[in-house]
Amino acid sequence: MSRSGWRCFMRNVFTRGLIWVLLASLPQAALPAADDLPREYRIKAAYLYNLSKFITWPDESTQDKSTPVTICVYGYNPFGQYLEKLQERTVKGRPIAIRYMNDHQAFNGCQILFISQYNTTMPRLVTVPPSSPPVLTVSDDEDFLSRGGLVALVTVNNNVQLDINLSRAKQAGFIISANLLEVARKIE
Amino acid sequence: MILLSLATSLISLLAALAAIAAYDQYSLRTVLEQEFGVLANVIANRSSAAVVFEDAALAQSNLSSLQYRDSVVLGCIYRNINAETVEKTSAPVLLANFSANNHRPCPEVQTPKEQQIKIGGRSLEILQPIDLDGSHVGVLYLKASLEENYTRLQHKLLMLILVMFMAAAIAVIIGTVLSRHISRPLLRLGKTAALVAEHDNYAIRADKFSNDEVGQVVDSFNHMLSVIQREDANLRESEEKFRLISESSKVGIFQLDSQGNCLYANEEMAIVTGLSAEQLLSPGLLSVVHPDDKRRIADQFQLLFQNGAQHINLDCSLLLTDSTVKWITGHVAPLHDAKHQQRGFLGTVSDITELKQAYDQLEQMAFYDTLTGLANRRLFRNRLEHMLSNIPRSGASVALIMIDLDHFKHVNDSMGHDSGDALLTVVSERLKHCVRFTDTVARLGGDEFAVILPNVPDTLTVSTIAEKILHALSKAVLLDDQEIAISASLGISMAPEDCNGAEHLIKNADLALYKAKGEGRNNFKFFTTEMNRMLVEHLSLVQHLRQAIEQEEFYLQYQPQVDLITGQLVGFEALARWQHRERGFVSPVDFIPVAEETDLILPLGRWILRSACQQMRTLCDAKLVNNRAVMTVNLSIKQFEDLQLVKFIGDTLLDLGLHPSQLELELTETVLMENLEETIDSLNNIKALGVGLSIDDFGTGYSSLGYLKRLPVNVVKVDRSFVMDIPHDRDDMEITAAVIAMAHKLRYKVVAEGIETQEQFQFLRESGCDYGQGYYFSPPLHPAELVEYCRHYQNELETDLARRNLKPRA
Repeated sequence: MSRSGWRCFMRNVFTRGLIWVLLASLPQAALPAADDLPREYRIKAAYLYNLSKFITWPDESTQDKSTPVTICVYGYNPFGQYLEKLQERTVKGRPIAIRYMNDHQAFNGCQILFISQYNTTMPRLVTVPPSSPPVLTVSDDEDFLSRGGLVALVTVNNNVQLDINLSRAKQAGFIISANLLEVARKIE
Repeated sequence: MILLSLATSLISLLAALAAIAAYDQYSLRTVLEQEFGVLANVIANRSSAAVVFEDAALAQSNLSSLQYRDSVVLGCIYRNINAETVEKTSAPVLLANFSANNHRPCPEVQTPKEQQIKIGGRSLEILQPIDLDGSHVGVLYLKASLEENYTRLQHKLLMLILVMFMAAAIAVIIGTVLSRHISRPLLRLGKTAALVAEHDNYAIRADKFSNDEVGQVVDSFNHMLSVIQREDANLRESEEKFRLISESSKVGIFQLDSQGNCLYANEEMAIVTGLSAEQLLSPGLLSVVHPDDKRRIADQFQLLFQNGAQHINLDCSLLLTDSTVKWITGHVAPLHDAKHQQRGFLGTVSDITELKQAYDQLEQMAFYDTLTGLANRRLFRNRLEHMLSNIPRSGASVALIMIDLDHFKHVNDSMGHDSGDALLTVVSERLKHCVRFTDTVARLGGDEFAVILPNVPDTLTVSTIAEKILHALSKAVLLDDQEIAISASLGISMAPEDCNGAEHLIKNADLALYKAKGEGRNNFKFFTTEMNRMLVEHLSLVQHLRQAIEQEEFYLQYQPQVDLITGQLVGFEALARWQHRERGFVSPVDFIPVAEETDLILPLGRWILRSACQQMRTLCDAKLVNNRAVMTVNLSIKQFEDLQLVKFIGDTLLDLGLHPSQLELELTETVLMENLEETIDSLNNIKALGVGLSIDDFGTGYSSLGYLKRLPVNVVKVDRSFVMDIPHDRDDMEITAAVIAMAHKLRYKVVAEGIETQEQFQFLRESGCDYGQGYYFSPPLHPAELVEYCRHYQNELETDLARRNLKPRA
């Protein structure tokens, strides 16, 4: 599993890297628009956004309405600038903020922490210390749950599906809507 | 009736049915709306995640639960593109669908803002937005068929109509039965009531068919008829009773309505008013009220009708159509029924004509003189007082004229009472013609009349009327074919000039009358204060006279009477004298009339008579006079009222041992003639005693020889007025001679009084006068002087007679 994952990761980097190389050589105006992002990532971006609507954070009731729901992208950002558009929207009346970070320990203030499967420095275990603020960890890595993540966005037959580690999420104080659980492929 | 109620019921039922149907339809819709609304909501809620995460299988699975609702024919879930792509809005994209039986396609839809329910004739469509976090992430479309529901509704309506017609049928049956049991008896009851009303017969009874409520109504109706029948009978009986009482009543009874129209009048009413029954109703009672009373009675009725007077009196006279005048008394008062509601007026009328006439007659008798029809003393007093009481208001004067006929007594005595009455009647008629309508002429009694003149401006007016009266009464009156000359004396007093009270006014007028009479009659005198003073003086004199008799202040003087031929003393005339301690000497001319007026003459006369007789006794005892000497005593005519007079004279003579011929009583001719009828018997009785009678003042009064011959007189006295004028007045001297001659023809002795001179003495002696009396012989003498005179006379006589060669009378 880790071997094939790794291969897949490498392939993606290769492909993406090629594209980026090609694109970099083009003038600025010819850069691809946000819509040019592959459908898979557009869906994933929509999932990131929509997840928060079905999940109640343990500290949510104490949060100010003006405090943004911050979506943090750790390390590799597969969405390009696509996520920026989310900042025009609101979730549960709160604005959305996007943050890109490299230090996986510095996720203070993040409500959602996305870790791409193509991260070169993917931590072995993604566990959040109980003392730190609750953060919903999301990844598109198939094994993400087994490494301590809470939500995995898994692509199956060209469809993105949800895996949810319900027991750990509950342990961390998250409340997850039954509707969300209904659409989940796998619930641990 | 039944059909009408049936139709009404049917219409009601139909309306109810329509209402039920409409309500059913409405409630069905509401139920469906709610039911499917909730269903759509649940599915939409459940499908939000499926839509967001494009889980078509889950959406399909959610929709598949619709298969358990038979009526749902189509269910579709759409996904909104923009939710995923964060792009502009575009039409929702079908995500999953469900279709029952026939595979109908999902329609193109737009995302509504909220749930939309569209109910068509046969189906119901719902568009339910699928929301997540305030935005529409998708749409649920549901379509349900309503066929089944409508079928159910139709069945229900059918059932209801069926039930309705059954109910109507039952109602018809029940109605028919009820009409047979209720309506028919009620109709018959109604016919009976109409029959009772039509024939006014309360003896009719309704038939009873059953013992139910209708039967009770019949019973009640019959009972009511019985009560009415009884009441009707009572009413008729009491009406009959009233009619009998009213018709046989001797009082006129009538009833008026509140406007005054006559509603009823009994027979007596017709008799009293002389109107027929129809005329009584119109023009009514007022039409025969006497014109003099009509206004007053009309006003009275006005008071009753409009001003709410409690009652009015109808005391008035009637002028009937046949010109009969009647007097009625009556009464009209409001008539109230048992509830104290006014029901017009009730009046009664009685014919009091006879009563009125009797009353008038009584009044006439009480207030009017029966002989002359003039006001009597009582009415005179009333009117006088009434007129005097009006003086302060009117300011005018009231004159009172007292009238006395002169010498009426003589007419009465000489011609009889019938003639006297006839004369009074003539006088009263003349008096009435002398005065105004408003004046009062009254007969106060005898020949006393009075006239009251109210509202006279001055004394001139009064004196004009007084002269008119004098003139009217001075005309001769023809009685028994004999012309009688009459005259009257009038005394007048005025109020308020002379006095105010009626009593006072009458007294003043009397005083003036007295004065008028005193001044020779046939004239009138106004009252003056001087008269009043005289009255006061008169009253004082009366008072003193009374005291004088009690205290014997009187004494007698005696004037000798002498035989003119022989010179012999033949007797004396006793003269009463009064010496009062304040007044001094009071002349008999003054006090004798007063004594006569007051009847004091009776004791005084007796005293004089007895005193004179005593004096005679004394002289006889002293042998100073012979037994032929006569004591002459004046007798007042008033003394004849003393019924014991003759007895007293006889007793006195007997007591003193005097011979009746020694006493001679002297009467005044005038007075004697005026009272001849009353006194002639007494004179004869005195004559019978043997006492002589002489007539004083012979020749002055009214005398006829016929009367003189009837008098039992021995001596007449020639009045001093004739003697006084001797020898200056030849006429008087001739009259005196004639009188003496006439007296001698009548076989009277003649005495002349007032002889004072030799000539007089000489003439009288030559004329044949028998005796003389006067200062020539002697003044009146006191008893002591008389004794002296007699003694002296005896001596003188003897010598003088011898000297004159005269012999004493045998």
